[in-house]
Amino acid sequence: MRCLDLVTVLLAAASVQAVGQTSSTRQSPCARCHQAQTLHQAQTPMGRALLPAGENPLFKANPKLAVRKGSFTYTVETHGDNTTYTVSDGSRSVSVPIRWTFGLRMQTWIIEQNGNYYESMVSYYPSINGLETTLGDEKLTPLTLQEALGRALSQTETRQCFSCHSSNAVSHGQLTLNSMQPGVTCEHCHSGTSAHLLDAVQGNFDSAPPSLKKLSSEKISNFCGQCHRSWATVVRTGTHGVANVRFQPYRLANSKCFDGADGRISCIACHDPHNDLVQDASSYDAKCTACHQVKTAGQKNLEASSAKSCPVATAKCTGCHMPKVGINSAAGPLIFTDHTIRRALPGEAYPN
Amino acid sequence: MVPGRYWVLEVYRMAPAQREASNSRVLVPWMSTFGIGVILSGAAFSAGGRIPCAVNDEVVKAPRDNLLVHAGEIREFEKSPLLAKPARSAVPAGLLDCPHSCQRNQKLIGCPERSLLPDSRSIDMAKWSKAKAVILICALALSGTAVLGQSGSSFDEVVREASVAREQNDVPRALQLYSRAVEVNPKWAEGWWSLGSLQYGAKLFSGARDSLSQYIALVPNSPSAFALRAQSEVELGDYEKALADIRQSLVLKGGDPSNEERLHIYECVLLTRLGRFEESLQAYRYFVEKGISTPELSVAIGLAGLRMALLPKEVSDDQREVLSGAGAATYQYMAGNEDGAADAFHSLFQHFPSQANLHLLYGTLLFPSNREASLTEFRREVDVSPSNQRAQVLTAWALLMQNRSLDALPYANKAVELNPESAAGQLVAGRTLVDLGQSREGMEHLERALQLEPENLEIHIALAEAYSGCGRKQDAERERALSLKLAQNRTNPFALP
Repeated sequence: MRCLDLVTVLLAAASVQAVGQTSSTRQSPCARCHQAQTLHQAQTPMGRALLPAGENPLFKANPKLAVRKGSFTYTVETHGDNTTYTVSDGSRSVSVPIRWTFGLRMQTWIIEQNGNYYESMVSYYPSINGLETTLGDEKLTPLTLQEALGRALSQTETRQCFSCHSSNAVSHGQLTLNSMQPGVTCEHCHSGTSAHLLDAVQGNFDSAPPSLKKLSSEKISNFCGQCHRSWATVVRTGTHGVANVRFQPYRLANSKCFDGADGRISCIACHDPHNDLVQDASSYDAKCTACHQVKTAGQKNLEASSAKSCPVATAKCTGCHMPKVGINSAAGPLIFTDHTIRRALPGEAYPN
Repeated sequence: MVPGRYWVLEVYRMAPAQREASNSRVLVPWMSTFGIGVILSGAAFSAGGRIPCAVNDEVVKAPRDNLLVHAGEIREFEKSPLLAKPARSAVPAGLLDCPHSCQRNQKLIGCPERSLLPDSRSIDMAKWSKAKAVILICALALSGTAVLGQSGSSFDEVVREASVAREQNDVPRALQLYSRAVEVNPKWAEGWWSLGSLQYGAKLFSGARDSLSQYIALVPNSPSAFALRAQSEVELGDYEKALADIRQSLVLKGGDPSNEERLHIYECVLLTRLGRFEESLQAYRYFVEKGISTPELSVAIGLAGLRMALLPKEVSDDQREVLSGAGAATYQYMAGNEDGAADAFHSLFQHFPSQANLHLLYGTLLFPSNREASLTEFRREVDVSPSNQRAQVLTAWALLMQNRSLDALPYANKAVELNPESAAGQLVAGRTLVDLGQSREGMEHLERALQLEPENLEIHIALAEAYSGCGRKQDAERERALSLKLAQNRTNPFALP
C-alpha cells in the first residue's frame, strides 16, 4: 500500500513539475493532506502570478489588442494558443511570441529574443481594457524597433522576476526555466516540501517544513517581503514617495501599532495566502478590534491591555485608517491600500 | 646722504640673477619713509619712491630687489650715515638654508612656508620688533594718502614681474614675486591661485595646499581649486582631506568632462587608499557606465577589489598581473557581461590559487543577484585564508540572507574572534543570535557594533528588527527612524556590511 502511495505521490509530483499543464487542472500533491490550503491556492493572484502561453484568459477574450505610442504601434494578437507581441514603426516590424504573462489583472510580458529578456514596453491595464506604457517605463523614449520592443533586463532582474512570479525557476543562482512552475506554488514558500512529501508517505513527518504560522510578525514581514519587499529592503533601496505603497511589509512596519512580537499585526493575521484576497473592508474589522476593543453600551472601561478604541466608528476601520493611494500610470491611477495604519487626516502628506 | 634720522635696515638682498642672498645695509631717510612703499606684512619693502636711499653705502634711487629685513632700527646720524660703520657686516651662518622648518627645500628661496618672513633664530629680535613697530607706524601714517597709489603701482609692478617670470618659466622668481604680491594684497585671489599652482608644479605641496586654501577662502566655488588642493593633499598623505576636496570639486561640477573623469578616478583611488573598498568599487561604476577602460584603470579597480590600500603608483611589478586581471574581470561584471566575468575569474583562480580576496571579490560582485553563488565564493575565500575576517563576515552574512542562521553561527563567531573591534563582525554575530532566538546576547553584539560604527545603516536595521521582534516598540521605532534617515544617502541597496 505504501509503495502504491509512493508511486502515486511521485507521479503527482512529476505532473506538477510538468511545464505546460494548465493552472486550472493543476492538482498539488500536497492536497492529499492539506486540502484546505490547496483548494483555492492555485487560482489566487499569487498562484497565477505567472501565466504560461495559452493559459491567459485575457488573450482569449481580446484576440487583438493594439496601441500606438509615439512612432511605434504595439499589437498583441492571439491565434489559438499562440500569442505574438509585435512592434512596428510603419515600415518594419518585430514579432516575438509571448510565453509568459506576469500578473493576473494588470499584465506585463517578459519577452525572450536571441537569449535576451525584455520587459514589454506596453502592458495590459484592466481599467482601460487595453494597452498602455508599462509602469515605470514612461520616461523611456525608444528610437529604434529594438528599443521599442521593451526594456532590456539584466540577468539579475530576469531571475528576480521569475523568482517571485513562479516556482523553481532559479536554481543555484541560475535561471532554470525548464523546471519552472508557473505562479507561486506550495514549494515556493514551504521549502523542502518534496522531501516531506516522500517522507510523509512512509509515515515520517520529521522533515516537515517549519511552520510559518509560528514565526513572529517581524519574521513573517521579512518572509513575505522577499517578494513584496521587506521594510529593510525598501530602506536599503531608498524607494520614497507613493511608489512604496506597493510594498506592504514596509508600509506596515512603519505603522505606530506595528509590533514585531505581536502576532495580531502580522501579514497572515489579516491575509490568508492560500485564498483570494478579501476585498470587503468590514471583514478586516475583527483584526483591528483584536487590539482596539470596541466599547459596548454601558461599558465604562476597556481592558487595561487594550489599545485605544476608535471614537468615530466601530466598523470598516480600514476605510479611514488604511487609505487608498493612487500611483500614476499611463492608464490612470493604480489604486493600492496603504498598509501604514494611522489616523489618516484629509490632505495629509504621504508618510514615507 | 645728509646727517639726520635714518631708518637703518639690515637686509638680505635676493639678487635675481644669482638666486642667492647677500646681506645689505639699507639706509632710508626717516622722514622720507612716507615716500616709500612699505610692505606692511613682513619685512620686504621695495623703494618705489624717488627719495635716495643707500644700499651698502651706495646711494640708489629705487632699490627694487627683494629685501629681507634682518634687523632694523632708527638711528640719528650726526654726519652722513655713509660714513658710519654698518652694524653687521657678515652674512650669518646658514643664511642660504631655509630659516623655517621645511625639510624639503633647503634654499631660502624655495621655502614653501613663509618665504619672505625673517627667521627668529637669525634675527636680533629686539631690533626687529622695533623695526616692525616703525613699519607699522609708517603704514598707519601712509593709509589714505597718495602714497597708496605709489604702493598700488608697486604692487602692479610685482604682479607684472611675476607674470613675466612665469611666462619665462622662471619658477623660483615667479614664486617669490607672487608670494610678495599676495602678502601686499592678501585679497588678490588670482595671486593665490597662481602661487598655489606654481607651488604644486614645483612640488612644494604644503605651500600649494596653503595657498589654495587662501584662494578657496576668497573663491569658494572653484572646482579647480578644490581639485588642485586635493592633489596637494594626496602628495602630503592627507587622503581624508583630499577625498573631501575631490568630492567638493565634483559637487561644483566645473571644467570639462575629462577633468570630471580625472576627479572620479581620484575619488576611487583615494577611497581605495583609505581602505573603503566597497565604496571604491561602487565609485568605479562611473567608468563602466561611460565605457571608459584602460590598463591603468584595471589595476586601480583591482586594488579596490583585492582590498589593497595602495595607490596605483605604489603597485609593484609582481602584483600588477593579478591586479590587472582582477580589475578587468570586475569591470566586465559591472558592465553586465556576467559570463565573460565568470570565465575571467575562473582563469584567475587557476593562475593565482592563493591570492587573498580574489574569491571574496567575485562573491561580492555576485551577491546582489546570486546569493548562493556568492556564498560559494565566500566559503572558498575562507578555505584559502581562514584568518580572513572579512571572508568570515560575508559568509555569515550570505547565510543569514538565506535565513540559515544556524549555519552562519560558526562564521559569525569566528569573525568576532578574529577581530572583536570589527563592527561588521559584531553585526553578523548579533543578527545570527537574534535569529536563533538568543535575543539578549544578540542585541549585546548589535549594540557593541553600533558603538563601533554609529552611522552604519545595517546595524540600525538589524537593531530595529531585533527590538521589534522582542516587543521593544519604542526602541524599534527609534531605530527605524534612524535607518530611514541614514538611508537617504544610500546608493547601493545591496551593500554588504
